Amino acid sequence: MDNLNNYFVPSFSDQLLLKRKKIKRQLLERQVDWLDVKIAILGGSTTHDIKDVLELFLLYHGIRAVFYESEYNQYWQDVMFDNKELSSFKPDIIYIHTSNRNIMDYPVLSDSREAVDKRLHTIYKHFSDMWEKIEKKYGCIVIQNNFEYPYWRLQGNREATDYHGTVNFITRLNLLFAEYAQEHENFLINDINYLSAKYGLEKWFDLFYWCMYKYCLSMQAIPTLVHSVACIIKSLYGKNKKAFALDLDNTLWGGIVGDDGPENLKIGRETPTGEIYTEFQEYLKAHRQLGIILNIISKNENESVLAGLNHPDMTLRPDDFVMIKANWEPKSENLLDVAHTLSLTPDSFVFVDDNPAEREIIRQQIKNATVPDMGDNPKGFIGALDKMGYFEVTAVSADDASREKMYHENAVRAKEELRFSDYNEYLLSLKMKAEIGAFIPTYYSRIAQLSNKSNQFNLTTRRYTQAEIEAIATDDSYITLYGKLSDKFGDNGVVSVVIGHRSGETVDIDLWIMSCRVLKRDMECAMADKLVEECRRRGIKKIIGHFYPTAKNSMVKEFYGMQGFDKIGEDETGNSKWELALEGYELRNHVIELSSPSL
Amino acid sequence: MNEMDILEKIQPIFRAIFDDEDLAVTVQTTAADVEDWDSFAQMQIVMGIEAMFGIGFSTDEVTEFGNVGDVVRTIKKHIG
Repeated sequence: MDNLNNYFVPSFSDQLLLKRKKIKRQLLERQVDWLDVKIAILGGSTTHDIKDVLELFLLYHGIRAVFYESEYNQYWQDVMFDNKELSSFKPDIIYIHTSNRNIMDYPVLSDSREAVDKRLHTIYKHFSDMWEKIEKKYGCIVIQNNFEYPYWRLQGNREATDYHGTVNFITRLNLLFAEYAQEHENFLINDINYLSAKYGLEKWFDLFYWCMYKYCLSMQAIPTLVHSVACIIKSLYGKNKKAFALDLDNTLWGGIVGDDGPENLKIGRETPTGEIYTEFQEYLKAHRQLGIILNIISKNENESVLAGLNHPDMTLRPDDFVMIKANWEPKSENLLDVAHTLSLTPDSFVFVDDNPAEREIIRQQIKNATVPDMGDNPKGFIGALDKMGYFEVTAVSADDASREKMYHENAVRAKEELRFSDYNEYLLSLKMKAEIGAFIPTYYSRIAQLSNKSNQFNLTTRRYTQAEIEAIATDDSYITLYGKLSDKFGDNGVVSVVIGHRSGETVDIDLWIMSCRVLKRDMECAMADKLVEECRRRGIKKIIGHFYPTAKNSMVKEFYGMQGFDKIGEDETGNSKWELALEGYELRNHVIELSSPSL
Repeated sequence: MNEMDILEKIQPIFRAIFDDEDLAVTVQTTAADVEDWDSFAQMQIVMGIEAMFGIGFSTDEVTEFGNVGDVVRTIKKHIG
């Protein structure tokens, strides 16, 4: 089973295409909490194998997709003329697979500048009308290919500069697509212009596959295309990696600090080998801007590590790292320890080590660990990580950007905790403030994101798209709450969400989730208090809670009981139902101060 | 390599694509004899064979494939 991973590492082998049926079977046999997603593929050329292969890549990421596929080259008609099959399919995501073959109206050399501009805007409008229609009718995520460059050039290099040139024309069109994306949060570009360049335009397009089967790219390039689309989708559903666990010797610098001494490490711009490691450090350091957390796990003495990190030519400095583990314990134990301290799951770390034996231990000891093969030459390290799409960015919510700072703060909090013998005294010392209120537009994206990535503190494991969150927020029959928590160390952002729907004098809780980074802070009590207050205001007498067990949420099996609910039923699969009468409810939170929502 | 050798060599491609370890195609086998053998499966077969032998079929050759025997003879022509 382990070798299944190998099929999904670029560059992809033909075997992925040929053995797809067997691979699909094996992927489905894995024990995974599947996320179910509906995807409509609207094609401007043949999409059959693209759908097949996308299904595999999504299964690999734990996403079980069902597909709608447009008839050949009906992408525009399906949207504009309201194809009934598509509307009743209710897609979560629409992927528009178009290519430069769908540009029907290229400039000719006799065109005036105005005529070329007119052609450009006609094509752009053809697409933007469709996107706007999708936004109005479906309100779902749109993934749209931009355009790859043509495989022949009439004027050679001049095609890039002359406004008649196809290269120039496609570049302008791609910029218009990019501008639309900048203004529409739910619209994402699949950058086949970059993909095809990286893959090699000569191999990307193959006239054989176009003339025989109307594929706008060669069969062999399909996994590369699909890998990119799958990266966007898994990112949307909160399946990005969150942290690096980095080795030091011969990974971040050349040489072994304990043996060679810090003064002899190969790092910095003075030698070619040193420069290669410096480039790699710059690559890693750039990820801090995305909120990716850097950690070190090194088999070394602590003093050697600090001496190495303080080498004057290091790009990464000691304060770039959240946790530094330098000891002789197995790296798998150190990784589990770092994950536990930061309240992250071990599989959200990318483990980077030049030593194949260390990588193998992690693979064997930690289920679903992310352990890229780094190759045997440091010049390939950046490429080995970058091609994987671990950190594909789809929406930099304010929360993501400040996440890294928050983990630093968590590390300080963990130290504080040791100073207090009485836990309640510790909680009070944190001077926590919560803002709890009904969903507001600012947080729709964060709420949807949280619903898709919370697995442990999640009573029902229901997933919501941003469009669904928006619909619920504006529907009176729902009670919604988001909770933000801050304390003297910093702001945790939105960490808890509750959704309930009302029928008569009863409210059923559809969703109750909380981020594990605020466990044991009584935030759940503050949420319960607010929920009761909101229910009372609406004349509700009774709250019904549901617990649906999954492989990951056993920590909240007795949650409703602890909140004062009575269990009123349980079926043979462990689904349980709980009831809380509002009469006589006493406030449970005594450590968090409530502030009113800022609008 | 004679035609029987070529046939044996390409058997695993058919088995992988149709996910059937027991499948044994013969020179007489046509698309109608194998469940799921549609134009997309045909395309995968072509790609698998091209990659295996490092050859490239022409569109005419692929269009005129009637049975596995045609495929085998065309491969033989390419590898000489």
